[in-house]
Amino acid sequence: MHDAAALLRLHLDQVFDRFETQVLPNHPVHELQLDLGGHAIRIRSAGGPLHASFSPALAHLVSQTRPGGSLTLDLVAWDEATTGIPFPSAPWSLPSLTPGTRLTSPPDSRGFRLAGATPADGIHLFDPDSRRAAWLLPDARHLPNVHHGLPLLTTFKWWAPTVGLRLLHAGCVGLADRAALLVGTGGSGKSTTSLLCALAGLDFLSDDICLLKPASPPIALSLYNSGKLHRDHLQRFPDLASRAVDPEPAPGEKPVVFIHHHFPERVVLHRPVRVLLAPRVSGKPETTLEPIAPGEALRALAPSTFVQLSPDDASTFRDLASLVRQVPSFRVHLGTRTDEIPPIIRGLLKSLE
Amino acid sequence: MITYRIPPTDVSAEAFDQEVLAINLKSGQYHSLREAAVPLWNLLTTGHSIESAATALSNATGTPLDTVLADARPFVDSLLSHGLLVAVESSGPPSASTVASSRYVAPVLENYSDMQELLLIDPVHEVAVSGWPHQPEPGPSTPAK
Repeated sequence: MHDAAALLRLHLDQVFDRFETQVLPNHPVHELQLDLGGHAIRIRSAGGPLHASFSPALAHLVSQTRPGGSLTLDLVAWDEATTGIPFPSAPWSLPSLTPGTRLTSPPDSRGFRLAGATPADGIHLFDPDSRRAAWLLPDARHLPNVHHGLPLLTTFKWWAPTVGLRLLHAGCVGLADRAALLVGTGGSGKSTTSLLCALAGLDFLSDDICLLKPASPPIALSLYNSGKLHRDHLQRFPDLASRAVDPEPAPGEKPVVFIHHHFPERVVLHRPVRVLLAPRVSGKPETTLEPIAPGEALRALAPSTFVQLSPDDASTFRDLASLVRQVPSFRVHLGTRTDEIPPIIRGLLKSLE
Repeated sequence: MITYRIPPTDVSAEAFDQEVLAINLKSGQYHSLREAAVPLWNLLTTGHSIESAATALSNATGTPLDTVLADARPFVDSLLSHGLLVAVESSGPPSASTVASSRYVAPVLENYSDMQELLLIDPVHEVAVSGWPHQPEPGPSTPAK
C-alpha cells in the first residue's frame, strides 16, 4: 500500500527544493508579501510574464512588513518554458485536461489538494498541514485571461477554510464603516452594480469574488481588486474600458480592469457586512429596493457560491445561512437609468445602523 | 416504528421563521419548505413518525388529523424521493418538540434546480490522476504532464 498523502507531500518537498536550488539562484524571482485580513501570505514566482500577469489583481494586499505570526500560505510558482527548469517528476500521470475538468486527488490523500483545468492553467498543489502551495505552469506566455483577474482562485479556495474564512461568489461595495454584499448568479448585475458604485466613489471590495469572515457582524474581505468587463460594459463604461487589460480578449474571455491601479483610494481591504443586496435587471427605467426574506437571500447567494467555489462543503451552507440571518436583505430591481443605482445603494447604506 | 433522518453528508438544511431551506449536495438541487412543511420538517427530523408529527400539528392548529395526514404522507414521499430524508427503524421516543399554534396551511415544497442549470452551463467533470502512484525514475527529471 502506498501512502498517498506521504507521496504527495514528498512531491511538494521536491517542488520547493527545486525552486530553492534551481529557480531562485538562476532566475529573477518576484516575491509578494500579502496581508489578507491579518494572515500572512508569501508568493514567490519566476518565469517570463508570470508575475506581471497575476500580481496586479492582488496589488492592494501587498504588505511591506509581514503581519505578525507565521506564514499561513507559502506559494511558489514558475513556468517551464521560459525558465527552462522542469518540474520534478510527479508520482502520477495526468489525464488529458479540458475546460470543465476538475482533477481530483488520489484516495487517502488526507487533505492534500491537487487541481488542474487545462494544460495552459497549470497544476495547483496545496498541503493544508504545512500551508505550502505550488502553481506549476507549462508556459506563462499563454496564461488564460481569467488568471489576470482572479489569480490563484483555486489555491485561495483551499486556503480560506484553514484560516476560518469563506470564499463567496459576491460583489461587495461599502461606505465608511459598512458594506453591502451583492449576490446572485452570473448575469444578475453584480459586476455592473459594483463597478457603477466604484466609479461613483463608493468603496470597492469585489465585483465577483470576495472572502467572508463569519463573525458578528460578519466581515467582508477584499481578495481581488479586479473588475471583469462584460461586452456591454465596453460601451457603458468607456472610461473603464479604455483602462482595461486585454481590451479585446479571446472569445469567452473578458477584459479586466484593476481598480486599485486607477482608483487606489476606493479599494478597501475589509468592512463589516450590514446588508445583502440581490440585484436583478428589471428593464424598467427606475431602480427600486424590495425587502426579501432570509431564505430568498440565501437562495440568491448559495447556488453559485456552491457550484463555483465549494460544491462539496456543507459547512459553507451553514455559514451562509448565518450570514443572511444577521443582516437585512433586499432585492435591487436594477433600472435602465444606471446613474441612479449608486445613490440608492449609498442611501441604503447610510440608513443602516 | 418508521422515523426519518437527514442524510448527514448529502443534505444540509437551515430553518428560518417561515421557511426551511435544504440543499442536496449530491443531486445539486435545493428546496424551499414553507407553511405546514416547516413544523412537519422540524417534527420529522427530531424523531417523530408521520403519525406522531401529524397528530402534534393537528392538535396545535385545530385541524382534523385526517386532513393533516392526507397532506403529510405525500409530502414525506417527496422528501424521500428528493433524498432530503431517509427512513429508519426506530424504537426510541422522539425529542421534545413544540409546535406553535397557528392557522393550518398545507405543506409547500418547492424545488430549485439553479445549481443543476449552472452545472450544465459550466460542467465540471471529475478526473482522477492516472498511473498512480508512479514512482519517479532516476535520471533527468521530466515535467508533470
